[in-house]
Amino acid sequence: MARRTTLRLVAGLAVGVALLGGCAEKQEASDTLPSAGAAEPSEAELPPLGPAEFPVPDGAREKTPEGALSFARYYMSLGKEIGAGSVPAQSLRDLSVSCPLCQQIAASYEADQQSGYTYRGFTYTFKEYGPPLVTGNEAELGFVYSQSEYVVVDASGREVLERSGDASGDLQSGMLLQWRADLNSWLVSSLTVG
Amino acid sequence: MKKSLGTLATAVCLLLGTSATAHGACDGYVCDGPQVTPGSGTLDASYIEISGPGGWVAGNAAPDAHPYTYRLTSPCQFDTAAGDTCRAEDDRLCPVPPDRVAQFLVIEQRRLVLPDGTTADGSPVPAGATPGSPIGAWEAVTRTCVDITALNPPPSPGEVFRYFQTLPLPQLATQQQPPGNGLVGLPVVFHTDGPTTQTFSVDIRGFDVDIVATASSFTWHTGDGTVLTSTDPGAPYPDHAVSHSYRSGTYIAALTTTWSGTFSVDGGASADVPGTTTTDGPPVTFAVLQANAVLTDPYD
Repeated sequence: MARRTTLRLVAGLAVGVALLGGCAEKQEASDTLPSAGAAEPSEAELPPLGPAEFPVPDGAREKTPEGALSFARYYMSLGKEIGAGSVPAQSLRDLSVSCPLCQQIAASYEADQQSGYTYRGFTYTFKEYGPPLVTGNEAELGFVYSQSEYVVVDASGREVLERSGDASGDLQSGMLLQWRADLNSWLVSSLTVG
Repeated sequence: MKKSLGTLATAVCLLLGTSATAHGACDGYVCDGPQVTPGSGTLDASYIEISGPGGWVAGNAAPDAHPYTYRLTSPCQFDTAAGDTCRAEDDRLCPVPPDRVAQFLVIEQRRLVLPDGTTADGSPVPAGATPGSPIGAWEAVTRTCVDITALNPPPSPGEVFRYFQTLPLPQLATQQQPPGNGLVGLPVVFHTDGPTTQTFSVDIRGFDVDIVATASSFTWHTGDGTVLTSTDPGAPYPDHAVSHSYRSGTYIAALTTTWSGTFSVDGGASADVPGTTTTDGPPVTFAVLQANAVLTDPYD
């Protein structure tokens, strides 16, 4: 299988040239990154997607590795918003397709929202292993996800200990995304957490 | 009381549109219980029955002269095959104990020739069709949650990913040129010469699963805060593709390799492992020196 080398940062001089120049004058290290890729359609052209209170960012609606990563970050950030009660849990269903774990997570959040529960102190971290691999209409990426300890409270502000959670620690996780041209967006087609 | 599917048309209609509930509560995105699904293939079953309140159970132990055979397909796959698109309502969770596997599936049935040469609904039997042979077309019966534990469904992509994360993948080492100390102004070339493809055969619930791991991305930590990313393992000078210029100093460089994978179950079609994993290679330490020009008298 042919591979295409994509260096994000490449030294500007060939070794031989640098060898000659290096002995004659001081050289500064190259430590700048190239600019972002080609421009995508303007943001104004995209119809809204996701919950109105927390829509899918336009940067996550690009069929690029950066767009896929942005969508993955967005999807994993929804939990914090849902837990805070500011976003309906249905969002997790709407932005996934044929993803059983997504449905399971959404159902759990929906049950909590129906019970009037909200999450306090919920934070998370998301660290990708590298850029997503985009092949055709599919993207895959691996990442480390972790959740903080958090407290669930009911509508009266009373702590619900049986629904509160401990810190998860680092969880090796993965996600498959499917590009939907009709939505001009990615959707989660498979999710594994831990 | 157990009822076979063939005699429960009314019950089928009542169950159409039934929405399943969750497996159980999750803590945020962290859910307990097995995340085992039958994957994207079609499952065959000899018998489907309702066992208990609303629980559809598939198996391969059919009573004698059972009039139908069955196949189970994911709604998305079923809709796609019919020229439709996957729909949000195709995704439903099924209540299931921790030691069971259940999935929201489309049930299809096909008539079997009975021992007396007839069919259960009186459909004509083609000449020469023997008892037990399937006749006619597959007919969609319902979409519902089905307990498929007895069918021993093949490992799902997510299940394979869990194994993928535990594989002893190579920790590719950083090779640097020039060896030893570098010079300011002379870019240091990085490459790795370790294996970039590894094949593993693992046993998952009795299935032979072949996993091919491929190093798909290389992240070079140069030691001065710069991170280079390539999809190529690099090569020695003069075919190098990864290099970096340093200021004078001592640096520790290392390589993080991102592995993607494909898998096949029992020699079947290959599919992508849904996710990647990484390995960190041993770091290398080197100094970069500042060379100064000195005029000398060759006759001195």
